[in-house]
Amino acid sequence: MMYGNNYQPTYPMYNPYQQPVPSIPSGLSGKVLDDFGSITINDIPMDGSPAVFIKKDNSEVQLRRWGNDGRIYSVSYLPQIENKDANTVNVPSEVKQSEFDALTQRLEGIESKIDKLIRPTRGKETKDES
Amino acid sequence: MNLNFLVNQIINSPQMQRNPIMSNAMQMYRNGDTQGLKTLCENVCKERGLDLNQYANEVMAQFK
Repeated sequence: MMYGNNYQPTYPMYNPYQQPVPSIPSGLSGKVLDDFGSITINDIPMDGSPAVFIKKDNSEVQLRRWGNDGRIYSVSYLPQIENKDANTVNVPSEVKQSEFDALTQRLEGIESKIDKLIRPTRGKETKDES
Repeated sequence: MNLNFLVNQIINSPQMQRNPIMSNAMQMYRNGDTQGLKTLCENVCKERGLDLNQYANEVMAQFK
């Protein structure tokens, strides 16, 4: 049975002879290296965009770019290691210890009161008969 | 072939327009800033480890 359907789905034709379109490279230029002395002129793009060079030991990151005047400008970034003690207040240790001791005593007192409430002592049940 | 036409084609090409050094050089050329052009060339040659005078002589030798 023939249907009067003239619809013919079209499928994309694969052309094996189609040459790939060269794409403009995007992203950052640069490399990871041992020493910044091994950087060559060709490593830095001449379109003015900076090239990022990272030391293998992560001790320094350097950006280099061509300036309008024909010179190469470089900016170095050094890591800043977080000091965990930097956020603490600079208080003498003697004061902190005394505060800690006072706080501990208070906690022990509260703990003993809670124990007395939870576990009343035997034979000394006192009831206020009023 | 007209040399000026060829030079203009090179100058106005997208690759040259994207290059800030060439853009600056063209700007200085239009403004007649020959000293700036010379300084720019000196800087580029210095960065590439070339001597400007020697390089200029080599280029001029090509036209002899």
